[in-house]
Amino acid sequence: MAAPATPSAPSGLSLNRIIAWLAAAFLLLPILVVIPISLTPERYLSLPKTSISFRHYGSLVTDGRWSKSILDSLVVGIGATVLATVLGVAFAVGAWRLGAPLARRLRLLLLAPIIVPPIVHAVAFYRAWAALGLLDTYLGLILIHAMKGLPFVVLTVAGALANVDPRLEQAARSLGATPRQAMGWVVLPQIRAGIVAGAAFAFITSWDETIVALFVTSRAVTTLPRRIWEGLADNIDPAIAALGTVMIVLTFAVVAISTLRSASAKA
Amino acid sequence: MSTAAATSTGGSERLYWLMLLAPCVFLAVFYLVPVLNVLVLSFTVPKPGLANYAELASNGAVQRVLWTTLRIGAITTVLALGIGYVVAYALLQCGPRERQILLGIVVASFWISALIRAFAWVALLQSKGLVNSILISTGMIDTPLSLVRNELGVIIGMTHYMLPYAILPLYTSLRGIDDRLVPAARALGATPGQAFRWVFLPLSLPGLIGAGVIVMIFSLGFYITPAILGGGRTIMVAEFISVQISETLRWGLAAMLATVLLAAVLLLVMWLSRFMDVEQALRK
Amino acid sequence: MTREHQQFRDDCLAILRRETEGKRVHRRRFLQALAMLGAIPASLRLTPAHAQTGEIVVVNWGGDAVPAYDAIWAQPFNAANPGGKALINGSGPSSGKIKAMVESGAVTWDVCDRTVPASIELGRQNLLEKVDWSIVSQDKVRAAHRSDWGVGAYLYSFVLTYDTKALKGPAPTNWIDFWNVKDFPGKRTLRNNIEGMLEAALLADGVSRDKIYPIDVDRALAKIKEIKPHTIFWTTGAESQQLFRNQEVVMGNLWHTRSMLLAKEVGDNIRFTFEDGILFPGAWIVPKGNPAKAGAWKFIASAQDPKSQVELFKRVGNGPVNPAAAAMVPPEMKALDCGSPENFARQVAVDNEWYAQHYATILARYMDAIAS
Repeated sequence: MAAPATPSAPSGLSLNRIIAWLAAAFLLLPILVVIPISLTPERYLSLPKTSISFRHYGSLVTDGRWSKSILDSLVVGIGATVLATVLGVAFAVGAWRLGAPLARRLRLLLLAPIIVPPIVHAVAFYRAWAALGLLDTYLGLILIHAMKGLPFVVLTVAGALANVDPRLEQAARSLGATPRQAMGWVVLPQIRAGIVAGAAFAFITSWDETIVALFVTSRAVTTLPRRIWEGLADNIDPAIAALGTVMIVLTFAVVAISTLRSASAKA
Repeated sequence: MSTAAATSTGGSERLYWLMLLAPCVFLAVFYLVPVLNVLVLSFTVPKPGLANYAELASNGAVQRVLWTTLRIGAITTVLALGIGYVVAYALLQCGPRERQILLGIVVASFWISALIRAFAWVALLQSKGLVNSILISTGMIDTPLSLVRNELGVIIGMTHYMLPYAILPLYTSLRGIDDRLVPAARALGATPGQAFRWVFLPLSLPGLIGAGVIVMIFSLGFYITPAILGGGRTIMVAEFISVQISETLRWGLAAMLATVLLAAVLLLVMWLSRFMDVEQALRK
Repeated sequence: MTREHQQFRDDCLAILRRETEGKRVHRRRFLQALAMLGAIPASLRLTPAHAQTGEIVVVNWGGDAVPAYDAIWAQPFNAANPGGKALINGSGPSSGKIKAMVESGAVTWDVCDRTVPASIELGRQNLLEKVDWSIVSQDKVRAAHRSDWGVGAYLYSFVLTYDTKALKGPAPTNWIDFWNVKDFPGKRTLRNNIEGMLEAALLADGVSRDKIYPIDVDRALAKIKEIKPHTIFWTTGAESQQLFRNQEVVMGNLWHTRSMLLAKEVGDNIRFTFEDGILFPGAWIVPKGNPAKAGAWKFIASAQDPKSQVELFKRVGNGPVNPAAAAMVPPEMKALDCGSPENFARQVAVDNEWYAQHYATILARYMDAIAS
C-alpha cells in the first residue's frame, strides 16, 4: 500500500531495511539458542556437545505434568483473553462513542494493572481470593489474568478506533439498524485488527505470567510458568526449550500458510 | 418521528454508557479493592504514619534502586522505540511477502517465555558464551567482554523483550498516516529527509508516544529479566519489592515503593497524554 | 452471523461448565463474600479450599527434593498411619506466602521446609504454631538445632568449592586463599544472600571461628566489596552449578549438596572442603492455623527417624540432624557427612539468634553493597 508511495530515495530505503533485518536477527538470536538447547541429552539447560536427543520433546507428550500444565495454561489463557477482550472492547468503544473527558480519565486508571509490580498483585489477590474462596481455582486465575490483559486490549482498540469516523455508526442507525446491529455490523468489523492485536497481547500476558500464579494457585491449577518455576531452584528442565521451539514452529507455519494463501488469492 | 429518533439515540447512549462502566465496575470490585488494601499498608505497617515514606529521603539503598530503575527504564525505552520505529517504517516500505516474514519473526519471539529467554541470553553472553567465543576466535578481542550479569546484560535482555511491544503499535499507527502526504511534500520541493522530518515524523508522534508509554511502564516494573541477567549487581524496584515481601517481610516498605511507582507512572502518563490529545485534535 | 453467535454462546457455556465442574465456586458464598470483602474479621472467613481430612501438605523447594521426600518420608508415613495422607509439594514456602496465608486465614500448608533461624524470626511474628514436644522428641535433635517453633530436619553447609582443572595452580584451602586473587586468579561465585557469606568474609579477614558472632557487619561488607570485581553472584542452587559446569568460575561458596552433585556430574576436578564451612540447620515449621493440626507434628516426629535421615543423605546429600544417625552412615560416605563429629569441629555453627534478629535489615544492606 505504502510501498509505491515512496519509490524515490532508494538509498534511505535500503538502509532502513538493513536495520529492520538486523533487528529481526536480534529478535531471533535467543531463539537460535533455544532450539539447540531443546535437543540436549542432559537434564539441565545446556548446548548439546556430543549427541542430540529428542527426549525433551517426548516428555512434553508423555509426562502427565507437562501436558496438564499446557492444558491449564491454555484454559486460563483463553478464558482470560475472552474476558479481557470483551471488557476491553466494550470500554474502548464506549469511551470512543461518548468521547467524555471522564472516559479519558478512566482509561488512565485502567493502566494500573501493568504498573503495579506483580508481587504486590500476588499479596493483594491472595488476601482477596482467600475471602472469596477463589484460591487455586481456574476462575480465580482467569479473573486476575483478564485484569492484567485488559489494559493492552483497551490501548490497542482505542488506537484502532482513532481512525474510525463516529458518523459511521450514526449512519447505520439512520438506515434502521438497532444499536446492537450498528455495533456488530459496522463498528466492530472496522477495528478487527486492533481487537486481534489486543487479544494476542492479553493471551501472551496470561501465558507468561509467573509471580501471581505462584501465589494464588497451589495444586489444582498448575500453569506452565509455575511448572517451570518449581524446578528452577534445582534444574531448569530443557523441556521448556522444546515447548518454545514447538510454539515457534507453529507460529512460522501459520505465517507461511497465510502468506501462501494471500499470494494465491492475488494470483 | 422526532420522538422516535430521540428515544433511539437515548437507547444507544445507554448502551454505550453500559459498555463504558461495566468494565470499570468489574475492575473496581476485583482490582481496586484488593490492591488498595495492600497499598494502604504503606501508611499502617509497621506502625501508623509516614515512616515508610521517610525512607525515600533517608535510605540510600532505596534511592539507588529507584535511580537504577529509572535509568534502565529510560535507556530501554529509547532503544526499543528507536529500533522499533525504523523497523515499523521499513515494514511500510517493503513488499507484502517481506513484511509478512518480518512480522512473523516479531510475533514468534513473543512465544518464548521471559524465563527461557533470560537463560538463553546468559548462554549467549557469558564469558565462555557464544558471542564471546565468536569474537575471540575471529581475533577481534583477546579477553572476553563482560556482557551479562551487569547493567548491559539487563538492557540487552529488556530491549529484546520490549521490541515487539514497540514495533506492533508503531506499525499500526504509522500505517494510519495518509500515504499521499510524503509524495505531496516531495512534489513541493522537499528533499526526502525534509519530507520525513517535516511531514511524516510529526504525524507519527502520537503513535510514538503511545508505544513509548507501553514500553516505559513495562520496563519500570520488570522483574524476571533483570533478576536473572543482572546477577545481583543490578537491582530494579520490582525485584527489591519482591525481596521485601517474600523474604524480609517488610510489607510497609514494599507497599510504599509500589505506591510511589504507581503514582509516578500515572502522573507521567497524564502529562504525556496531553500531547496525544493535542495531536488527535489537530488531526480532526 | 447467527451461527457464529450460537457457537460463541456454546463456547462460553462450555468454559463455564468446566469452571464449575467439581470446583468449589459456590455462587451464593461467592456473592456473600463479595459483599463483605475487606470488612470481615479473619475468624468469619471461609475455610480454605483444600482442608480435606487426613491430608498433610508438606512443602519444600521443588526439584529432586520432591520425589526424595516422598519416597523417604511421605510414603512410609502413609503406610504406617492408615487414613493419614502426607503429600509433598514443591512450591517453595517463602516467608511472604506464609504471612499472606496466616493473615488471611486461608492456610493450606501443614509442614514447611525452612531453617531454625527462620523459625525464630517467623515464630516471633506470630505466624507459626509452637512445637508440640509431646509428639516430637527433643532427644532426637541437639539444642542448637531446634527452637520454640522449629524442629531440625537436616544439616547443610556453605563450603569452599573449587575446580582444579580451571585453577591450574595450587588448590585453595581456606577463605583467605579464596580472597587472594593474585595467587589464585579467576572468577569466584558468592551467593546473593548473607547466609554463609558474611561469615566467610570475616574468616578471610582473620577472625577466628569462635569469634564470628555477633557479626561485625561493616567489616564483613568491606571484605565483600574487596572481592566484588572478581565475583559472580548466584541466586539459585541451579545457577551455582551452572557456573561451574560452564567454567565461568574457578571457585565458589556453595551449598555442599550442590558441590557433591557437581563432583558426581562434572568429575573429580570439582573438590570441596568442610574446613571453615558454615553449618546451617534446616528445620520443619508449621504455619499457624494449619489444616491438619496435630497431624503435622506426627509427620515431623516420623521424620526424626535416624534411618530415614541417612537415606536422605545418601540420596541428596543433606546431613542427618539426629545425633544417632552418625553411626549409621556407611564408612565410605562419612567424609561427606557435614554433621559428623570430625566435620562438625572444622566448621562454624550458625548463631540462630543473630539471624533471627538481623536477617531483614542486614540482607538489604548486603544487596545494596553488591549492587553499588
